[in-house]
Amino acid sequence: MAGKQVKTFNCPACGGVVSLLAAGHSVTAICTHCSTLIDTANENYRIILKNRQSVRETDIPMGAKGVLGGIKWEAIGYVEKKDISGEYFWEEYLLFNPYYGFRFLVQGDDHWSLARIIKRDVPVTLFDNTIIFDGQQFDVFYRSTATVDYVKGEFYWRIRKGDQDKYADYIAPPRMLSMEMNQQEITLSMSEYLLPEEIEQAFGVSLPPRRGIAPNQPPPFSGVRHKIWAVAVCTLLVAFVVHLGSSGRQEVVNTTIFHVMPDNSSKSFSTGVFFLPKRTNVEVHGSATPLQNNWVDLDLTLVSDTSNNAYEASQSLEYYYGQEDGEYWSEGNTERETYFESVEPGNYRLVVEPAPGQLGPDGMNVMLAVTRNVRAWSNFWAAVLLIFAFPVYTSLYRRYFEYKRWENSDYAPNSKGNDSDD
Amino acid sequence: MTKYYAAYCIALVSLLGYANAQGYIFGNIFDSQSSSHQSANHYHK
Repeated sequence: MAGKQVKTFNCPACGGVVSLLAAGHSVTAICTHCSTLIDTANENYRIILKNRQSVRETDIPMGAKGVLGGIKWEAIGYVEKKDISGEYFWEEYLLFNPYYGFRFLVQGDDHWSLARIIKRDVPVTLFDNTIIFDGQQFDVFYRSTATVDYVKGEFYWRIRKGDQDKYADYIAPPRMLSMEMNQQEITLSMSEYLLPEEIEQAFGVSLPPRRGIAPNQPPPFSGVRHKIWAVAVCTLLVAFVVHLGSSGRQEVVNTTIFHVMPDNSSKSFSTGVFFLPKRTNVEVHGSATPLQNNWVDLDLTLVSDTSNNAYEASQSLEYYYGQEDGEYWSEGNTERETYFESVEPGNYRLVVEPAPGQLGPDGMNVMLAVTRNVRAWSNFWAAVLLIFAFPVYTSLYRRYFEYKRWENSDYAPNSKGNDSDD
Repeated sequence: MTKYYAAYCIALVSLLGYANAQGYIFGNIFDSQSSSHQSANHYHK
């Protein structure tokens, strides 16, 4: 294929052999030995510009062949360009295939894109901020003047170091529409982002890692973020149904009031026997009256009457109040809940050992309500948190990514990073 | 990636159902007074 087009001639400057890889197409070639710019439009091989540059190594050698998009391309030309501000540099490899023509492999900050020239007429100007192309909106990202800094290989147009073009890049990741304008023409090209691994695999080269974020680099989770959110919402609904269905019916199985008197304040009390038909949680709702500027600690033991199992917990009830600087204050509560988790089925009673603070002559009443199958909403909310952690992360990271992308542009719209481009 | 996330969600929902059926309460982790532990039954005859 491409090899059939090769033609050789001697450099008119140094006499070295120059190979034309796209003979018949190339009008400019650079001698690989002395870097002299040669007119190859005809066989006179006129010198356009004598050697003024040293030969530079490129990531993809001239003549290297590689398959991209199912088409075998040969690298025949190489251009280094820089922005007139001197801030941005990029490289363009000219690829050739005798059946498919030319493509450009563009590299900036070690990000790669494959570009093709758009040959149809597109009614745009260099000053448009958005372009609608093929029904897709492209937003302006760069607009400046590019200068050719170095050339190597051969080209189907006249090119030399110092050539300048006005240009504008419009993005709709992973695509980028680039417009170049000089005195003769306006050229539009469409490029598509490629992973460095694709280039490495195609041309058998080793490339440095990417730096920063490219203008047309696809955002993370591109195309899957909305699906992930949809899965999350569906899971939420299912989790709600499962939560209601798996919790069982809540039931109060015992209510007991103990009278803690000064003369029996360290005595243990026991509820009556209650039955737990299946493994469950058990809530003990305790309250104490009177409990004013006082406290009572309750050691609770859930004792099985049928096995060797016992479950221990403690509960502190305390309530303080007063007035300070004309303002009332209070602290603590006269009631609270304690939970026993995963209690085996069987007959149980609750043994209580109270440790009260100060007791008046009438003592203190402690009421305990024992409930089984308490619906654990904390389980549900923990599941919700874990379900939505990943979708929220994808959205936040996406927003950050877009923010970093547009940091490199003078045309960052305020709304970038919103949910517009999946 | 979506299928891995979907599998993760299925596992979570299964865990939620299991924890509820077994009587576990996630919130107890953060409440020292509400945590119970199993011990030898000194009251068993």
